This record gives sequence, structure tokens and C-alpha cells, in this order.
Amino acid sequence: MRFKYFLIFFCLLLTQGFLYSQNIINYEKLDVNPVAVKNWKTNYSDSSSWKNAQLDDAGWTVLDNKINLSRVAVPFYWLRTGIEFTGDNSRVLSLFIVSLGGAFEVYWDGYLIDTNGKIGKDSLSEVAGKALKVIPISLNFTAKGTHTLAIRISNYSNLEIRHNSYIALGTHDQITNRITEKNTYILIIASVLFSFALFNLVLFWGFNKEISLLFLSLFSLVLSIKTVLETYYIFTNFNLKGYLFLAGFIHPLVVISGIFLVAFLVFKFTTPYTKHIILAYIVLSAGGYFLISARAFIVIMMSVASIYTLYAIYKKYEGSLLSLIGLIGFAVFSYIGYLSAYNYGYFLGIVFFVFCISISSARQISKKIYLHSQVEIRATRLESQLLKKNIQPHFILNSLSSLQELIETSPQQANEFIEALADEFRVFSQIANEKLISIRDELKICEAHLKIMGFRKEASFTLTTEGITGTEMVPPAVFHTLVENGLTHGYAKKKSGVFLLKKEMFDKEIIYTLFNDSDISKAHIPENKGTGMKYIEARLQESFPGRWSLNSCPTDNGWLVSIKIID
Amino acid sequence: MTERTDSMKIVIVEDEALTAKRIKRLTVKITGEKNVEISVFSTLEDAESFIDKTSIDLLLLDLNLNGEDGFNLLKKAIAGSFHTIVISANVDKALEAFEYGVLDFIPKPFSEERLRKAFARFEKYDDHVNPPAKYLSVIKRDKLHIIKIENVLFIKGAGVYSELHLRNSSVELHNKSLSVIHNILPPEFIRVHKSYIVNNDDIVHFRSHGASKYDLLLKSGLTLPVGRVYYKAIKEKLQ
Repeated sequence: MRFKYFLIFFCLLLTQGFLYSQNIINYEKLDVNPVAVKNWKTNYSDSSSWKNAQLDDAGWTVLDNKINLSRVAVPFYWLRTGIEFTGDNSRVLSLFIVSLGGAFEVYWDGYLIDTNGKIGKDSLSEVAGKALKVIPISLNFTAKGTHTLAIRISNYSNLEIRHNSYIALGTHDQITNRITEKNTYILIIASVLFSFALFNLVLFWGFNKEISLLFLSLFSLVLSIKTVLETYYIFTNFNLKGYLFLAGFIHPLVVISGIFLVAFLVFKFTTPYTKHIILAYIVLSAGGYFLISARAFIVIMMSVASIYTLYAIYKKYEGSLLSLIGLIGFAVFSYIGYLSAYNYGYFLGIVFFVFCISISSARQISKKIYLHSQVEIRATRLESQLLKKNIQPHFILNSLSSLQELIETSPQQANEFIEALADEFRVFSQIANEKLISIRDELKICEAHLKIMGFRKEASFTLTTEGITGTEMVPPAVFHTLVENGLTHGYAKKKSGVFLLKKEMFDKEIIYTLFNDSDISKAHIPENKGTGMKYIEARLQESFPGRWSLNSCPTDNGWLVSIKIID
Repeated sequence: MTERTDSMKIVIVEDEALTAKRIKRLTVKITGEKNVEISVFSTLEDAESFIDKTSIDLLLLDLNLNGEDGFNLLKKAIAGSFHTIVISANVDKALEAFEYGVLDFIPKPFSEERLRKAFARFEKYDDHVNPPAKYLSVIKRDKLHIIKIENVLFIKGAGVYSELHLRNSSVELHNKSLSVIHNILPPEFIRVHKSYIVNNDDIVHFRSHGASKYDLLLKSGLTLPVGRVYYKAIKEKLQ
């Protein structure tokens, strides 16, 4: 395909000097695509005779096939070319003119067939026309044979257009279909990008305001806007002046999108250098703003993104692989698009990239939600375990049995017993749904428990502390459980018991030890994994995940449990 | 309570001092201080070694001592010559305890009335309110054997022991005397003679041989004597 074009171009080059420069248009060709009109000659001035079909324009400047005279700030000029139709034609043809002007007048075979805007002699009298113009040509003008196309252009407004002007000839249907097709395509892409922007904004808002999602949303939004601005063809009614004003934003939008992309990546895959990297990129962007073209910016931003994503993969960040796939997809699409006539590939690439990232985000978030619900479930379970501890039948029934005896034999003590029970119940109900409680409350329930058991066992149990400041926060009923266990499995015959809670701090560790002088014999050492110990482990894991350890063993004169927490 | 020539020996196994105190106090009240010798133990080992050495009449046992399960001691205790009453906060085990033939299962907390009721059963147990026993345990060569009561055909008294005559014709010796064991047997076991307890369901009929000589015929063809007093009582019950 490309080779064919090349050949034609070569032939045209060769024939340039010898033939009257013209376009030879085969009607069959027009079945497939509109044909670009080439072989233009130009003259920087004005004369009414220049519209004529017959004119000696040998002295005119020959243009290469790119028309972009706005670059050289020419305020007034004419374009002329010849068109030969090689066969009969029964369909209405149209001229398709994009990005030409200021304003222009189109002459076919010497006749004025249409104007775009109003040609003026200065910037005040000139009225800029539309960015895109479709001019149907009546059938008798497109009969077999040679025809002349002349265009008179004024550009006193000095509108500078980024793109080359494009003039083509095609059947009217083709051209209007083409425009509709492109409109639709671009609007779809812009909508998809806009939707992604909204989606990620919602994710940002709804889930913990993770900042990377905000940047991703902005990135997608900026690209959505840029997509529309860049392909102004869709705005067939758009005034060229207005369009160019808007198009002026494309460069800054590209630069900003780069900043957003880099910001998204460095916040998603955070490192200690995150702030530095962003700052560096912003400085680079600001510095290169006027020097580097938008296209180059895109290459730079994608390169930076790729390097950073590779680093994230190396560091085994979650979602980094998907991001890289997205970037590669973007590069591939862009390259394919670059090779073809219309660079839709670039836009598809962006869509693919944002899509990959959005999948990754959505997965991460659903995982977070799942883990969070697991944590909730665990917390609820622990809470109910805590409450159940307090109302265990064994504890209550035995206490009531003891209370019964006290009521009948020693009412004063019965009252004290009831008070101790009430103290324990009261504090338990207060601490039920906390993850951490003040150590003072914990000591309260331990002491209440020791008092209650003291009555029941007709013994005297005391709790002393060492190294406790009173400001410590501990998981609820952990020491209480240890005290319970200590009492249950020992003191069968002793009439007194000593419990000592010690706290020691080293470097980054806090060690709590609970010692009691139980007379438990070696034969009666309970298995470690009673429900009490499981409860303690679950509480420690809840509040100090992965940084705790629990050790429980007999000593010479009793039992020692130590809990280590690493800060 | 009937008069006893020697005092009743009672063992209380309870690790909570205050509850143990209560059991003791109420027991003394119910039985009368002069009639009873009470020993209190707070561990299973201590209780077991005492019971092994001393002959007792009644064991009051808590099933949850120092966090340990007293049920094994229970199974062993049931094989003893004495009755066992369980006093426990853990009601889950009640049914199983009855199946093993405890005299009563008292849930904590308990009133004097409740304990009195249990002691009443010690003397005479005919209200059959509790779930029937399903097992008897015997200790043979220091090992505990569980015998299903449904396999027992009849029981013959043998001094302070009882002979359990099983359907498969084997005989096991139980530590409880006939009167004592009668207390824990389900209602279908009736006393027909000073020395015999029979499973009602196996009796074909009673026979009278004149001159106050009675006996009964079992389905297996075996004949067992029937005491005169017992015969009269059965006859009244049937009418």
C-alpha cells in the first residue's frame, strides 16, 4: 500500500516540470476513499484574474504537498491546481477543506462556488471562517476532462495552525460519512476516558482518599479533554479562530497530563523519594515547556512512567505488572496508529492504559474491602468472646453458689462479694467493644477477679505491679485471662497467692510479664492452646499484627507468662 | 435418716473452699452431726488415694476441679461400694452422669432442700425422676470395665458385694452391696428376694409352691427364689 503511494509520488515528482501540474483522478478510486488534492502552486498576492480556468501560472511557487503557509505568516495568497477526471461521473462530488485560512473563496473553473468566512484587506475587515468546510460541486462541473481549482485565502488574523491544511475530493456521502465516523470515534474515546476519570474519582472519594487515584482521575480527564481538542474535525461548525484558541491548550494539557501520570505512579508505588521525583518532573516539564514539542513530551512522560513501573515491579509492588502491561499496550497501539493514516492508535493506547490501571485499582480495592470485612468479623468475634468470658456458666454458677453460702453465714461478706462481682461486670461492659483499653481498667478487672476468687477459695490473692505507669493501653481482658488461668490451674491447696505484673522496656520492645506463685504440679500443666490462650493471641494479633510474642512456662516457684510487643 | 451403728463416712471433693464449706455445713445439718464423718479434698488425687484406702459410704463430687475433668474419677467412683452424688456447675454432664449410675446430680447453686432430696434417695430411691442408669462399672484387676445394664439378667447378693449375672452367662463382681446397687438401677430391676434383684422384663411368671414358697421363672428357663415379703409387695403393686 505504502509502496504504491511512494511510486505515485515519485512519478508526480518526475512529471512536475513537464506537465501542467494537475491531479489525475480516477473515479474508481473515489469509490474507496476521498483523494487528497495535491500539486498546488501558490502566489503571495491578489488578482481577480487568478481565478480563471486558463492562466499562465508557470511563475508560481510550487508547494510540496504540505500546505501550511500560516507558518510563514503570509497574510494573503492564492492556491491553484488542476484536476482531471478520467471517466464519466454521475455522483455529486464534494471538496473537503480543513485548517485553511483565516478566510477563503473557492473557484472552480473560474466560478466562485463557495466562501468560508469573509476575506478582508486587514485583520479588522477579515472574518475567519470554519475549521472544516464541505463544498458540494455540481455535476456539470465534474464532467470528464480537465478542471481548475483556485482558492483565494486571506489570513490577516495571523492564525497559526499546528496542522497542515488538508484538501480532498470525494463523493459527498463518503465525506460526510467520514466526518460522522470520526466524530463518533473521537467522542467514544473521549467518553471512555471521561468515564474512567469519573470512576477513579469515585474510587478516590469512596475509599479512603487514596491520592494516587485522584491523579489517575485527573490524568484521564485531561486526556479526555485533549482528545476532543486535538481532533477538531468533529466540530464542523466550529469557527477556526475559536478552534485555534482552544487548540492552544493542547500543549499545556499534554505537559500537565505528564505530571499527573508521574504523580499517579509515584503515589501508587510510593518510595521515600516520591516527593523528590514529582518535583523533579515538574521542574523538567516547566523547563522544557517551550522547548519540547507535545509529541516529545508524550515520549518523555511514557518513558519516565515505564522506568518507574519497572522499578515498582522490581520492588514487587502490587499492580505494577498490570501498569506495565498498560504502558506497553499504549506504546504498541501508538506505534501502529502512527503508521496508519489516522492516529487513532494513540487514543486507543491511552484507553488501554487507563483501563489496565483501573482494573488494578478495582482489584486492590475489592481486596481491601474483603480484608477490612475480615478484620471487622474478627473484631466482632473477639468482642463476643470477651463478653462470653464474663458470663460463663462455670464462673457465674460457682460464684452464685459461694454467694449463697455467704448470704446464709456471713451477710457482710456477701455484700463485699456482690460488690466485687459488680465491679467486674461493670468494667467488662464498658470495655467490651474497645480494641485497646487503659491498663487501669484491665487492672481493675484483674483485682476484682482475684477478690471474687479469694472469697470462693477462702484464700487471699494479691496483685502487685512493677514498672506500670498507668498510661499504657492494652488489649482488653488479656491479663485477666492469664490471671484466670493462673488461678484455675493452681492454688488447689494454697490459702494465698501472689500475682505480679511487670513491665519492662527495651530499645523498641515492651515486655509484660505476669508471674504467679501457683503450686501447679508438673503433671498438671495445661495445654497451651486453651480457648483462653487463643483469645489472647487473637487480641494481640488484632492490635499488634505480626509484632508480638507470647511465652508461657512454669518456673521454680510458680508460673510465668511473658508478652513481648515490638514497637 | 435411719439410725446407724457407726457414723456415715462422707467424702467431699470440691476445689472451691466456700462451696465445700457449704456442702459440709448442709450435710451436717441434714444428717445430724453425730452421725457423720466428713472429709474434704480439693484435688482428685488426694480424694482418690483416700478412697482407695478407706471405705466410705457416700462421695460428693464436683466434676470441674482445678480446670480438670472429674469424669474419669466419676467412672471409677461408680464402681465403688459407695454412692456418688455429683454437685457441679456444668449441667452438660448431667445426663451422662446419670447413665453411669450416680445417685443424683445437683446443679450449682443449690439450696438445703435440694441436698436433702438427694440424701433422701440415699435411703430409698423409688421416685425414678432422673434418667435411668445405662452402665455399671466394675474394677477387675485394677482395670475399669463398663457393663451395659441391658446385658444384666439378674443380680445376686454376695455379702458386701453383688454378682452381676449377665445374659451371656458371665458373672461380674460389683463392689456395691445389693441394697446399695438397687438404688441406682432403673425401674425394671425389682428386688424379689433378700439376695436377688431381677430384670422385670425377663420374668415369665411367678409361681407359688404352697407354704409360702415362691419362685419365678425367667425367659431363659432359669428359676430364681422369691422372698415372701417381696412376693406380697409385688402382688400388691400388680393389683
